[in-house]
This record gives sequence, structure tokens and C-alpha cells, in this order.
Amino acid sequence: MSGDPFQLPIRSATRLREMHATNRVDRLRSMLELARVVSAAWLVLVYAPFHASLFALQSQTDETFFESKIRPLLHRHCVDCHGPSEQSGGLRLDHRKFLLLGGESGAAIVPHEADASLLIRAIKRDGALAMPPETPLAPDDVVLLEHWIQSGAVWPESEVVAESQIEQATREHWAFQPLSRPVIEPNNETLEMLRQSSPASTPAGPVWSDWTNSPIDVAIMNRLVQAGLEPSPRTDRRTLLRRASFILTGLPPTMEQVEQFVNDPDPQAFEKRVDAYLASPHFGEHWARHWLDLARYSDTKGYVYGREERFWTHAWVYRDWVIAAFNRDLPYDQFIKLQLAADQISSDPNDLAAMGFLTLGRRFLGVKPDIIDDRIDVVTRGLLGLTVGCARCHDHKYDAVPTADYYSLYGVMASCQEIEKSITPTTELPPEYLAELQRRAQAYQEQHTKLCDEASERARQRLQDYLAAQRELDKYPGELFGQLFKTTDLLPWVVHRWADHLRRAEQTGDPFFAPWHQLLKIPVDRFASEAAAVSARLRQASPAEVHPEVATALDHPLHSPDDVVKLYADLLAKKRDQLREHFEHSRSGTESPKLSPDELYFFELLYGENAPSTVPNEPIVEIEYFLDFASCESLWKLQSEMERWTLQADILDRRVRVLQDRSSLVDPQIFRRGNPQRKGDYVPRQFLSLLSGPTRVPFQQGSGRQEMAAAIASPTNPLTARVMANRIWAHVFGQPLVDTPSDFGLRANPPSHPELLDYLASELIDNGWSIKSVLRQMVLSETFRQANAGTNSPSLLARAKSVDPDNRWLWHFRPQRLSIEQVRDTVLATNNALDTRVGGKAVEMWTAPFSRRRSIYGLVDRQFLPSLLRSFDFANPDLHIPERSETTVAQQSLFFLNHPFIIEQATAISLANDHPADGTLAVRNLFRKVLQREPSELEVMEAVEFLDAAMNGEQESSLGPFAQLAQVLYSSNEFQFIE
Amino acid sequence: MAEFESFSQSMTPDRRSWLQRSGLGLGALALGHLLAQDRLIANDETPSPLRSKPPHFPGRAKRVIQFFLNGGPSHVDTFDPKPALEKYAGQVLPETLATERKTGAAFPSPFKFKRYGESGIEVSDIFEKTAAHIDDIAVIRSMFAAVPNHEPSLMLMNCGDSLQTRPSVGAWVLYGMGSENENLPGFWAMCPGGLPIKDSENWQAAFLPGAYQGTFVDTNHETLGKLIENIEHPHISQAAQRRQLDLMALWNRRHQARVLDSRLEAKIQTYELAFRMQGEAREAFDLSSETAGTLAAYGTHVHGRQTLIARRLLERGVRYIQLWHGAGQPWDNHDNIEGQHRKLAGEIDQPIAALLSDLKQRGMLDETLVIWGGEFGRTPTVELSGDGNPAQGRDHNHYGFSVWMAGGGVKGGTVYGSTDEFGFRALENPVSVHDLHATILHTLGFDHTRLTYRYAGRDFRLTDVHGNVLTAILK
Repeated sequence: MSGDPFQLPIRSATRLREMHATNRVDRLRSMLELARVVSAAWLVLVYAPFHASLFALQSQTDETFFESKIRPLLHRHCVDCHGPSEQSGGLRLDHRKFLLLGGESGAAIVPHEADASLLIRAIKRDGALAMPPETPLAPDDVVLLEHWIQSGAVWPESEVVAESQIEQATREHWAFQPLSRPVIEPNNETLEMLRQSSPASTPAGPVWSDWTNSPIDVAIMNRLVQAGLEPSPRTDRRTLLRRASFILTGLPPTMEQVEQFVNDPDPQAFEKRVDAYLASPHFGEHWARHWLDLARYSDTKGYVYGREERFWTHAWVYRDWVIAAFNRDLPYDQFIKLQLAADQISSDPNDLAAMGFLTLGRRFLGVKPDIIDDRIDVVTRGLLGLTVGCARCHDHKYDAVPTADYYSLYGVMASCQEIEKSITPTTELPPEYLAELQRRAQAYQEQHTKLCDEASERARQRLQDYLAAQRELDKYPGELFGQLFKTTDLLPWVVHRWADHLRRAEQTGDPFFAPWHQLLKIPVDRFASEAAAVSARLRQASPAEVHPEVATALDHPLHSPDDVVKLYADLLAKKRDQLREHFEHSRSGTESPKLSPDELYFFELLYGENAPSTVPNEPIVEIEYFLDFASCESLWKLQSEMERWTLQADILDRRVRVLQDRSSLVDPQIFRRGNPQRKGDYVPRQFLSLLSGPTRVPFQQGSGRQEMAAAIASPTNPLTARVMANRIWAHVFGQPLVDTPSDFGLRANPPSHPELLDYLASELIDNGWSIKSVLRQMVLSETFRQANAGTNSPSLLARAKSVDPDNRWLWHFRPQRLSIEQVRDTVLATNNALDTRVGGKAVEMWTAPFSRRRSIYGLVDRQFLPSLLRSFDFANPDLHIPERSETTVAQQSLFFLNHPFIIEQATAISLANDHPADGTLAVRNLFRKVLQREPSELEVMEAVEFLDAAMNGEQESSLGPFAQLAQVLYSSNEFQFIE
Repeated sequence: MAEFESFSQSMTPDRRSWLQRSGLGLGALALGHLLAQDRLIANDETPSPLRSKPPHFPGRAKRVIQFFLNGGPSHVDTFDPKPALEKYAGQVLPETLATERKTGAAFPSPFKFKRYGESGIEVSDIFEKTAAHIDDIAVIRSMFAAVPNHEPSLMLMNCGDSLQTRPSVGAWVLYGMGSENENLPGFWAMCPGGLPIKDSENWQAAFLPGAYQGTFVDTNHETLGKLIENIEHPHISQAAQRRQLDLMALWNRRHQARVLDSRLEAKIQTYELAFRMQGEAREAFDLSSETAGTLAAYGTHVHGRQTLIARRLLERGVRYIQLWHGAGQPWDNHDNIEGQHRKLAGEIDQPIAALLSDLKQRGMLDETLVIWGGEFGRTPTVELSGDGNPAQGRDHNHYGFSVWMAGGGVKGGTVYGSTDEFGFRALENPVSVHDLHATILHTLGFDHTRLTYRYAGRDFRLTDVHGNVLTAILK
């Protein structure tokens, strides 16, 4: 009964009823009827005295039926996946309102119309949906549900639907609340404290009145006062300038700049220095590196097969775009939109570079679901602080992100193809370079056209094999299962494309393939006996239901499913040959061929751009699975020839790798348990339900990428601005307000200073999404200017150390350790050796002869990342890294003790020593250069003593004493920590 | 006084000479004392990521050494004899499973199998020296992986996932238990001649801190400076470097006294650690103190030296060592399997046997888990070359293959599971790679479901949502 193979999807309800009115069902129906009468009678007997109206009685009976039969059935078979804890396909079946509301595929029931109810279609496995997925319901259960819907789908009126735990938590979670600008004022305790304390009472302590000017400081002060703590006094001017310089530009000031600032009487002096740092090109270099950690930036693709060039041509162009974006203070919303959809929102070709954000992830051996997963992850964790990737295999365990939403975004990405191209005006490129590039591009293009045409034609010639393969799809594994295909093999990808096409045909009621589905649904063992009846019915169907040529072909008796395959293969082969003849004929003439609508249908099916047999007209990176091994190798080699030419050329041909909407968009299907071979429901391309509210509509324009970008970069998105404000704060103060910067979901701890986070997020938006303006406020705050040492009050200091050792309430400025890039840049800068040019191709950084460019221009090779970088906790370029780990291991010390770069620079600074004869002066000079301060007398003495000892031990080493001393300074904690 | 203790301990081993040479004597001690007192009270130490940590329960194994036969050793030619292949020689089998390339008829092993030990387990003669230890070995004959391709299978075997960036087994183990010797990296990957396929991804730390990443050594090099990065100063003597460290320590301590930050202490101590590492690594890689008998037992081939160095590292408390066979994928014998497998096995048979004897003799075998295997096995059918004619090799086979383990609480003389009559597919008690990982972690004292790390909102596990411990092969 269930899975009745004899139904057409567009059959009227009455005909359906006739069809499955078998004796058995009739019996069951009359039993049900009887049961209702009996139970009603029983109820009359028992409850009659208490019920006044017959109406109430009637509904009571239905409720009894519901409670005894339907609710247990739904609970046993459905609610695990469609209930409060999980809403597969966005559907819940634990309350009537949810059944009416439905899920991704529409309302689950139409009361009184069982046949029109999706639920019934699904449990009968009649159509695209087959539920429950593993074991079909017993026929009796199907009848019970039909009966229940037919009689109105009664559900106890009074039942209030319980909000699921996730729903409740989502409704209440701090990060999902609409952002509103908080008013930050001293609270009562703080006011009291302000009244009591005067500058006189704590002469060297903080001047509390300074802390009332900036909302940042007030927010910090409120918490400090609450915790019974006191901030540190202002730090000294040298430390302050160094701090601001490092945090804004990643580089130290020079000794001269420090001295100037220390002696500058201008009350605006600091503000002016901060503005200068923000305006410096080094600002963008430093802050771009923070972004690149999030963007899992790498100059290489990761592991690729030998045929493929392993370097990205576009990575450095993206990196330079990010640097420029920070330097020109590109509004953050625009910054997001360009990285996701520059191709659709900007007319400036230079903006296309931004899309490297999506396209420079690992290649994952070309396996699409993993490439897309990486993109979804970088977008959702990176921009929204949501771990949407968790919903790849099942609904998110903690957050309201159903698997359906993951695949909605998957569909956006899958509807795009990757295009690599140049954005450099050809006038800027040398003709020799262009000519050779042109030659290689042409070689590729010719081969591409030839091989793709051949592959398409091969597939077209083997219709019968590809159709037969549909009956054993399991034999054609997914992308990860690599086989070296010859031109004589069937290609799994073409098999799966036919499968997708047929699935869609079934969904849309395509009259040509309707008999295919109806006939192949007959169980093989019953085919011989049942096929004739089905054929007979199909032959009588209207042309709108069954294509006449198929109906005619059904005149021949069908003995086995193979005959169905043959029937279709023959029909299609005939169409194929006719169309070809038609074309060849018209090619010889002058007229272009005119096709009837029917011919057009077959043209699209067999020769069309999106036909299952046609290799899409897309770059090799998108079509490797449509080709045999040799063709694939050949195209990759030619493609790599092109890429190599641009990589090796000693000129800056700025190239981009963009996503571009496909001509045929992908209607995403859920991959059950994340397995692309196990396709589930179709879902629309749309934004996350969690952030869309009840009015969510599917994306309207193309892939939906631009709409997705707009939804993320929206001032009403509760996450985007908060997430970014938190990231900026973390880089300024060394620790975030929300301690999981890329996970603002239900498991995230609330911010240490909730109102401060909301204030900063509002400031970001209200200042036109200006990152610099928010940064400026932070750096000019008293909180930022605090000393490291803590309050002068010994008792309060002791208290601070014991109640808040992690400095959550910011009672002092916690030193920040220089990253390995900063170490390198600072060593070069203090040695006056830093190359200050901005932008350009990546350079090798860690082998001699050592480059003097800033570290951000250093090659990031994710496949061969120097172990040095790993040991210094450099952001893993394979993953979105919200915060670098901070470990202390011996390999780091070995770098300072023994690495040739450190030794080279220590030697260089010793050679630049202006006072070789005067040890004391030389030492002073070294301290001024490396640490931007004067050494103490004691330090000078100790250093001179060291130099003497080293001099006496000269025979032991070929490194001069002064260079040895310089190495000591570079290795010192004072050098490696920003105070 | 407790803090003073920790300060003075950090000065070992040559605290006295430091004091003498610094010319500061007691003054420096007093300074240290004063400095120590002013450090932060709570959260004082930033623990080293390598600090030894107890596992979930006392495990039998304390360390792991893994022979990785990259490329895929043929199980039907080593530890899984299939006489049926003789019978069907030259005939097409009833079922030929799809693998990377086309294969043809049944291809009997060119090697002889014999029974060894009291257990009488059959092993091919290309591993006859290893086979002499069969009573200490548990052979799993029913392993299976996901796909017949090197890259995903290497990732699955090493990191538990075919494609996504996940930490390697060694990284998980180091994260879970730290190392018994912080003067040396706790996880080593050794390979003569360069990197295997998939490069350092095989021993990656992924989202775990970089300190848990395997340290790669190309054991074709013999000089220390080429074996380990930055392990010695190219220009100055140890005495000169000691002087640098002393001055640095003095200034760092003074700096620490004025700056509030708990991380400074660890940074200071790490310089002493690095200094000691230079000596310790030199010593560990120097085989001159080994007896002639030991050297002879391991043999003169690079694999002998590599395996012996590994034993020296294990002795020094290193937690996890992978010994790769060579750059690329030496065991990937699509052709001439007879010649190639014999040669390759000949290179490691003796070192493996020597290691097992040596560990046993030193009383280390029962707490050292020894693992042998590749990323998959090979087809029992012959590979067809481009023209469709049989070559003399086998294609990749992920449907069924063998891995063996010894020591570390493993029940020796055991065979677990089996493949079908021909060795194509795991049949009886199939063992997934996740099961293998769960078992490795179990021998070390970990419940694989509880060894987790939170990243991207999830508590990740080596075994993801899979894995069953093979208790049948454990003592």
C-alpha cells in the first residue's frame, strides 16, 4: 500500500481515492468508523452527565482518537527529527500549528484533505519526499493518519505549545537581541566614589575625573568600582607612545619620536600622534594581518595533484586590497559586501580583488562540498560569529541553525563558479608578457573546447548506459572516491547529473519522464505482472501528463525495468540524431534552425548548456569530474602553464579569483548526515532563519550572494557589528570582551562589559562603519593609557591581583606579546633596515638572504608552513583563526638564540655602532635603538662587563661581542612584550 | 620560600657556575628572591603546553612508535595469507571491487608464508625477522578505510578525517598527556629523504596549538644542525651562549620585577629549557655511545639508524614517534610488487625486529605501543596497465587490509578479524580507522569520547562520532 507506485503526482483527489480503495483499506476504514461510534457511545455513557452539548462530545471523541492513535504515532516515528530538539527540514510535528505552518517544503497538512497533504505524500513515499527516511510506516498507520487529516486533524484546542529550549534560549540570548545604543553613565556606586575621591586624596593615583569623559572609561570604571577595584595611574609617556605605535602600526617608534613626544608640551600631543599612526600606511599593514588570520589567508592552495599549479595567482592582490581597505578606512559594511559580492555591487574592477576572501581557501583535492564548507565557515564564523558549519551533518546542537539553513547557504555557494582573471589594464602590462599569456590562454581555450565537446558527445552517445546506471547509483561514488577514468568509462558525475535531472523532472511533473518514474517504482519482482496495467493507464493519460511519443512507445510490452531504460534510450537517441541532422542540415544552409517547442525541449535535454551530458562551459577547476583522467590532466597542465606565467613574471599583473553566478542555479538539497551521496529535501537559497525573523523569503537575485552579503552587513543584524567591535577591542587591549570572538551563539559567555560592547558596536555603525573611528576612541581612552603596574594603593593592588588575576575588569594594562611577524619587523625597524614599501607579490621570508620587507608580505605557504611559524603560534592558514594560541615553547627561544636572521641583524646593528671605541656610549646607543630608552647605569655596567668577558672569550666565537650583546637585547622579554 | 625554590630550580643544571660566572654571587640570589616575591599571586604560571599530564585512567602504554609504510603495503603479501589466490590464479574473481585503477585476475602472492611462534600465525617471508616476534604481536586483518586514494586515506589514518583539517593522532596524544621530557619535542615524524605525500599535514596540529605539531626530521641527514632547526648557534661556543643567557636572565628578572605579567616567568624558563635542549638533542641523535652489538642488530641502513634514534628518543620520554618509510610513497607498488615489496621489507624488517628485542630487553616494550601499517592495503587482483594488460603489481585497496600492534598492553600472538577468501574486503569483525584510533588512545589511558578540544563551537574528538575500542586484542 505505502509507496503506491501507480500514482501520478498531478492526479485529482477523487481518482486517487478510487485507486487505493482496496478491500483491505475499506475494511480498516469501516473498523475506524466503528471505533469512533463505539468510543463515542462509551463516552456518552460515561461522561454524558457532565457534558451539555453534543458538539463538545464530538470533539472529545476526536481528541480521544487523536490521543490514543495519532499522537503516539507521531511521537514514535516523527518527533525525534521534527520536534522541539530537532527540526529537520524546518518542520515540527508536535503541534497542529506547526503542521499547518509546515517546513521548507510547505504546509504538512491540509485539514480535511488527506490527499493534498504533504505529510501523507511523504509517508506514502509518493513523490520527492519519503518519510520516515529509513523504515516506511506500516500501511495501517498510514490509513490512521489519512483518516485523522480527513476528519479535520483535530488537536486538543487547549494545548499550549511548549517553546523548545533552544527557542527560549535564542529569544533571551544577549547576542541575538537587537542592537540599541546604550546610555553609559556612572552608576550610583561610581557617583558615590567620585564624590568621595578627589585628586588630593590619591595624589599619584588615577584622576577619576578623567574617567568620566569617554563612555568607554565610564563602562570600565563602573565595573571596577563594583568589583572594589581601582585602575592604574596613567603610564609614562614613552610607554604610551610605544604602546600606541605597536598596536596601531605593529612597529615601534624611533627613539627620536619618543623623545619628541615625551617633551611635547602640547595637551593634544597624544591625540595628534594617534591620528598620525592611523593615517600611516603601516596601520593598514598591521590591521590587515589581523584580518588575514580570520580569512585563513595563504599564498598557496594546499595539497594539489602534480598537474595543478600550487600557488594562487590572486592571493597577494587580495592581501593588498585588505591593506588598502584598512588604510582608507573603507566602511566595514562595504568591506563585507565587497568580499562577498564585489562582482555584483561594484563597477570598479579593483574591488574584485576583495573576493579572495571566499576563494583562497584550501583546494581539498577539488572536492566541492568541502570547498564550500570552508567558505560557509569563513563567512559565518568570520563575519557573524556563528558556527554554522556545525549544521553540516545535523541540526546545530546548541544554536537554532537547522541543517536546512546550512544547505540554503550551500546553495548560494554552489550556484557560483570560480573565475580567475586579470584586473590590470593591458596598457600597464608589457606587450611581451601579454603576448605570451595570450598564447598560453589560447592553447588552453582550444583544448578546453575540444575536450569538453568530445566528452559531451561521448556522454550523449551512451544514453542507454547512463540511464541504466540510474538503477544502481550506489555503484557511482562521490567526488572523494578517485578513479582514473578512461574515455570508455561512464563518469560518475554524469550519472549523478542525470539523477539530479530526473529528480527535478519528477518534482515538476515533466510529462516525458513521468512514465519513467511510474514504471521504475514497480518493485522488480512484480514488474512483469504489474507493468502492463501501469502502461495501460499511462497510455490513456493526457499529453500534459504523459508525452505522446512515450505513450505511443508504451504500446510495446515491457518485461523488465531494462526495457524501460531501453525505451527511453531509444527515444532519446532518435531525438539526438534528428536534432543533429537538423543542425547539420541548417548549417549548410543560410537559415538558422527553427525548433518547435517540443524540439526545443529535447534540444535542452540533450544539447543544452545545462543538459546532463553537456560539460558545463566553465574553467577546469569546476569541471574536473566531468572529464576522463587524461583530458583532466591535459587541461590542468595548460591551465597551470597560464598561471605559472603570471606567477613567475617579474611584473605586477593584478589577478583576481571571483565567484560569479552560474547560468543554471543550484537548488540545494540537504545532504543527510553531511553525505553528498544521500540527498534529502530541497531547500531554498535563503538567509539563516535565526537572523531573518518570521518574514524570511528566499533570495530573489541569482545565487543570492548579494542578498546574503546585505543581510550580514546590515545595521539591524544583531551580530555583525558586535562581532567586529569585539575583535577590534581584543587587538587593542589584548583580550576580547566576549571570550569566544567567532562564536556568539548560545554557548558563548556574555561579554565582560555588555553595555560597552553594545556601545562600541553602535559607534561602529553610527560612524558610518568606520573602524578607525572606533579604534581612535579606544586608544584615546584612559583605560588604554593605564600603566601596567596597577594602582598605587598596596591594599587595592593586592586585592586586584587576587580577585582578578586575568585582568577581566582591566585594572591595569596587560602587556602584549609581539607576534612572530612583529618580532621580525621590529628587529628590522630598530636596525633601520625595514623596507617600507607597501604591497606586492609575496616574498620568501625565513631563508637567507633575508628579505627586509614587512612580514605581511612574507610567503604564506599553507602546505609547507615553516615550523618556525607554527612554533610561534602563527595563525594556521587552513582554518579561520579567531585568536592565535599563545604558547611558550623552547623552539621559540631557540629562534632568538640561534636563528641566522637574528644573528644577521645583531651583527648589522653592531656594525652600525657609531661609538666602537667607547663601550658605554655604544651600549647607550644600542638600548636607544632597540628599546627606545636610556639604559640605567647598572645596565651599562653589566653590559660593559659582558662585552669584556665576550672579548676575552673571543677565540670561542666568530660573532663579535657587541653583536652578542645585541642578540641578548633582542631575546629579552622587554623587547618582546608591549607594555 | 616556595617561590624562591622554583626560581632556583629553573637555574639548574649549572646554577653554581652561572652564579660564579656572573660574578654576582649571592647578590643575584637575593635579587631573585626579591623579584620572586613581587610576582603575581594567583595564576602565576603559564604552564608549558608540553607539561606531562595524567590521562583519564592508567594506561598500559606510555608512548607510541609507529612504522608508517606509506604508499600502502599489500596485506596479502605480508600478514594476511590467501591460498585461494593460488587456486584462482589468472582467473577473474567472482567480484572485483572498484578501486582507483582497473584490476584484472587473481594475483597470488609471490612470497612464501610460514607459521611462526607458539601462536603459529602465518607471515610472509619478507617479514621473517619481525615474524620471530609474532607472539608479541596482534595482527588486525580486517581494517577498512573510506576510499582507494592515498591523500584521503593518509589523512584518515593520521588525522581521523579524509579531507578536513584535523589534528593528527600524535598531536592529540601530546595534547592529552604532554611529554615526559620537556627538553625535547614530544612528537616526532622521521622520514629519510624528504616528505611523504601530504607533507606535514600527516602530523599537523590543526586547531590545537602549534606546540603539538610533529617535529619533522629527514634522517638522511646526519649532522645535528640539519636534523633539527636552530638547534645550535652557528658562530659561538656554548660558553659564550651561556654568558648571553646569564645576562638575559638577569635583565629579564629585573624586568619581571617591574612588569605585572604571569607569562614572563615561563618565557624566562624556556630559555634555560632551550639551552638544555641543545645538549639533549645532540646526545639523543648521537649513536656513538651505542654498543657495536646494538648497532649491528639495527643494521647500517638508514632505517636502522632512524629506528635506533627513535628508541633513544623514547627512552628520553618522547611521547609519539612516527617512522615513515621514505619520501613520496615507497610502498605504492602498482608494478613489480615482488621486487619492490621484497626490497622495502628488507629495509625495515631487521630494524623492526631489533627494536622489539631491544625494547623488551630494556623492559620498555610493555609500556611502548608499537604500530605497523600503511594508509590501506592492496588488491588481491593484478593491476591492469594502460593497454589493459596485467602489470606485475596491485592497486590500492581500502576495503580490507592489515595493521599490527605490539607492546603497550596489546595481547601478542593474536589475530583479529579477517578479510574474505581473497583478501578483498574486511569480512569478520571489520575494524574502522576510528576503531584503531580509539584503541590507540585506550592503551594510553584515554576514553576517546572524552579527549576533546573545543574549536569553532564544537568539542572535537579524534574519533569524531565513531570508534570502538578493540578490547579483544588487549591484555
